[in-house]
Formats: sequence, structure tokens, C-alpha cells
Amino acid sequence: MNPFQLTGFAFLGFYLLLGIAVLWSLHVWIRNSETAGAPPQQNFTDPYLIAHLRAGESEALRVATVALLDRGLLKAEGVAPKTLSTKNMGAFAMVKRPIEKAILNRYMTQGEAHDIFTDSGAKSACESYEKVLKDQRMIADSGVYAKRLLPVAIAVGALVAVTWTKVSIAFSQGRHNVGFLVFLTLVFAVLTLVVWRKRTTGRGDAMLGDLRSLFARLKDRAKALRAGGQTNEAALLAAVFGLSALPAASFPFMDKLYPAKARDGSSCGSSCSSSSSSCSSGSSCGGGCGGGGCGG
Amino acid sequence: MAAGAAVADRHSAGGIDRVGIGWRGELAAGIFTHIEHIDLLEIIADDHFRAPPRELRALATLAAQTPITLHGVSMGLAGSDITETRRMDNMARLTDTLQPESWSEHLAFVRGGGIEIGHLAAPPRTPHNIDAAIANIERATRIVGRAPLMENIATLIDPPASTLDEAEWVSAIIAGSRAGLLLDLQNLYANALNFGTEPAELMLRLPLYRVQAVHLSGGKWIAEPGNALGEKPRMRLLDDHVHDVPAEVFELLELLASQVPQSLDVILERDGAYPQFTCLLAQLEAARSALRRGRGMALPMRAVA
Repeated sequence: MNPFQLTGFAFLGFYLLLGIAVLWSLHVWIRNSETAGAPPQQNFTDPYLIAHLRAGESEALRVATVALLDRGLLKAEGVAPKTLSTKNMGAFAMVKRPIEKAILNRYMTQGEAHDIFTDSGAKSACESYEKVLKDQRMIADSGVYAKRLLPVAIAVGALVAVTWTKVSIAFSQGRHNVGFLVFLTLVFAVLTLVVWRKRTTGRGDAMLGDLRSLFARLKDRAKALRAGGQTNEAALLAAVFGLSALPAASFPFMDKLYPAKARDGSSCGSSCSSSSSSCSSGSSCGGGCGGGGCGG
Repeated sequence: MAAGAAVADRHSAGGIDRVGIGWRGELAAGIFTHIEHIDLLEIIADDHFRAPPRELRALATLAAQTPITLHGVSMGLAGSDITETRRMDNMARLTDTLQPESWSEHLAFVRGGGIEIGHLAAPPRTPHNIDAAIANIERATRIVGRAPLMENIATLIDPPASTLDEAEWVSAIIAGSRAGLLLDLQNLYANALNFGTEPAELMLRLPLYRVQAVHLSGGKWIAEPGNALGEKPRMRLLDDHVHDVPAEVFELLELLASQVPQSLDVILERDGAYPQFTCLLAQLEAARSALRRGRGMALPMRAVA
């Protein structure tokens, strides 16, 4: 069947499916070409690097700020919007990463949480993450965008060619009701450009997928996480899944810092409290080995 | 002391002990945060036999962060029945994909007559069972492409119809196969206490020269059920993986390290009641300390990674 013989909604339906297929093909091509042959990435355990990969510089700064609050090196005061201040000069000795030092430096003078996003020192500290991610081909640089250009041009060209052909046929038959087809073409062209300008590469997306898979069970027991910064668990959970993954009960200050975040809770249930300070006690989301012991 | 120094010298020339932890998703953040303190990770193989490619890729990413080893729980290689080939194929596929440093299974049976027990059970310790276990292990070695490490298991009952004790049985299977021994010190400790043996004495009767890896975990005391006469119930030490490693098990690790020249991979197992990760790190450090003590104070610090 010649699709150009279709008319009205029938052709628009065909064009809609064609556009979706073209977009999907482009997405798959980009994903496969940007992950092919890439070995699993080593030394990818820095929560701020992960946060930067997932959502950029601002997210890395958010996660780092919350981690510093959790560790008691930043103080949050007042009501929403809360103001932040560095606890004291001794806090600098407790951190080692440039992004943490930059945040502490900014809040040596009291300021609002969002001030950090425009701080030159903090932005500069994030540049190293940007460079690492580009060097590791996790986020797109000019070379990646250039490589994507040809398939993007082919995709847009194919969509425009179909539209042009159909419009020509319609005009030759004296019909001029092509407005919605042109609109659809523009929508798909814009979506194609969005795919082209996608910040993360296929490799970066794969790494984020890997991390989400590895951390899935931790997310399930997120309610067991407690504030206090004894470990970096909260920072890693927030880095992989976003700040909304942190339990509001343990991290109540976040509502006041970044109030727009919706929380998605966890499936652990009320019985899943963490252990006490003793190493050997506490309840569990995990199952143990059953009444018969593990044996192995 | 001279013997200890000789062991220390051989050890320092031969390799480095490593200390790691069993990978559990619940511990992911702690493991990632403290990866520099974790020399290797043990992954439960059975959890991933039917994993989609995306999950396997995630495990490969995990393996890129630190060495891994695979641990199987469902082959039942020490059963008297022939273990199905498909179970070994599963392990072969996973080892091909993830390229672990080693793989291991249990000296246990987990099914019989088509019925899955759902538990690692100790088989009757007989010459017939030894032959069957060796045959299973050799088939698994051929199919997977490398020999497994076989782990001693804990049991709350002395296996009925046994004609050999645990040390004789384990020694015969290890001697008759190419498998190394994964010595679970908590299992050994529990079996010794439950059946009236000195833990150190039991350990020294095992083929320690074949030990390549060690498991550490904790357990709890439970009352033996089925006491109808109203007597005070006997207590049994249950290996449950949800308690801290007792000091006595670290002492066994120290003794083991003093007895063998080869390097050891020590894995801390924790399956629930997860404490703060700092507590688990403390147990990893306690294991390193036990290894250092066992290897002799003359060892250079880097002998234990």
C-alpha cells in the first residue's frame, strides 16, 4: 500500500507512527553507537560526580550541600527559605573535595541555599567534574554532537521529505488542508533536535542505569537511613536517585532548602528501622536465612 | 615461633591476603563509599542466573570497581544425586560474563527425589557420598571451566547414617577433586560447639593447605526443639549471618593464618539486620588484624591489603 494515497487522519496517523519510529531509531542508534565497545567505568564512586552526571552542576551542588549539612559542617537556620552558614573554620579540615571546600567557603558569610548556584568558586569546583565526565565520554562534548549530526540530519530530512511529498501531492489535487501535517513535522523536528542536544551520552545513560540497578535495594530501605553523616550513604543515595529519595523524617531540613522536590518514599515499611548504635542489633529489610540458619 | 616466621616468610613471598564483603544491594552505598577498604566482593551467583542484560552490565560495572568472586548456593554438589547440567551451565554463563576471580559452592545437598529443601543440608558422610560429590565437582569444573572452591556448611544435626566425621569427609572430597576449600570459620565454629569438639582441633584436621578463601559471619544460640521430657533444652549455635563475627572466629582466622603459607581471601557475610557500615568496616579491620597477627608481627604491613 502506498501511504501517500492515504488522506486526512489516516495519513496523519501514519505520519505520527513514522515520526515515533524515526525518533526511536535515532535514540537507539545514539545509545548503541555511544556505548559500543566501552568497558565498564572504573573508580566511579564519588557521589558528586554521579550527581553531576545525572543532572548537572546544580545537582552536584545540591547533593554536596545536603551532605555537608548531614555531617554538621553547615548549619541551616531560620524558616523557609533557610539560610546556611559554615559551622566554623575547623569544618575545612573535615573535607577533602574542592566542591565541599567551595561550598564551605561560600557560606562563611551567611546566605540562602540557592546562592551557591551562582557562586563562582562553586562553579569552578564543578568544572573538574564536567571535564572528567567529558573525558570519560559520559556527557556530550562538541565531538559527540558533531558525530550525532549526520543521523539527526537524516532523520529530519526523512520527515521533511515525506511531508514535502505529501504536501506536493495535496496541492496538485487542489487540497490545502496541510496545516496539521506541517505542525507535526515541526514538532518532530524539534524533538529530533532535543535528542541531538541530549546532555548525557549512551555511555553516561548506561552508567546511570547500572548505578540505579546496583542501588535499587538501598533505595527500598532508604527510610532506615539516618542523618548524622557517619557514612556517605545518604549522599550516594541522593546522587543516584535524587534528593527526593532521602527520607523526610531523617532529613527534614531539605523541605526548607529545596521545597519543590516531591518525595517518593520507599517500600520498606515501618518495621524497617535501622539498627541502634550497637553493631549487632537492629531490624532488617533483608531476610537473613530463615529459621534454619544459613548453613553456608 | 620459628615455624611461624617460616610461614610468614613464605607468605610474604607468595601473595597478599585480601579482605572483602558479600555484595548486598542494601550495603551498596557503604561499599561504594569505602571501596578503598574492600579488596574484593562476593556476589551470590544464583541471584543473577536469569538476570537481564542490563543487570549483568551493572554487575560488570561493579566488577570494574573491585575484584569479584561468585558464590553459588543451589547446585547441591555434595548430594548423592547427579547435579543437573543446566545448573552448572548457569554458573558457566555467569562466569563467562563477569569473569570473576573464582567461584564457589557448598559441600551440601539441597534437593532429593525431586524435592527442593530450600536449605543447605549436610548429607550422610559416607564413602558413597564422597564419590558422588567428587563426580559432581569434577563435572562442574569441566562445564564452568575452572574448579570451584567448596565451602564447609553448618548443620544443627549430625547427619544420620554417617560413617565419617566432618573433617574426614571434607578432606576426602578435597583430596579427590581439584576444588579448593572455602573455609567458613563460623560454620566450623558452630559445628564444633554443637557436637562437642574443640573448634581449633577440628580446623587443624582439615586440609588447610587447600584453603583459598574464608567466610566470616555471626550466629545466635537457639534452644533445640523437640524436648518432650521437660528437660532443659540443649542449646545449638545457629549460623544466621545477621550477627557480628564473634571474637572466637577471629581467633580461628588468626590460627589459620599462622598455619598456611598461601594467601587468603576473607569475606565477611552479612544477610540482614544491617548495622551502620562503620560497624562492618570495623569487622573487616578486625579480620585484617587477625591475619596480621597470624602471619607474624614480622610481616610487612602491606602483606595484608
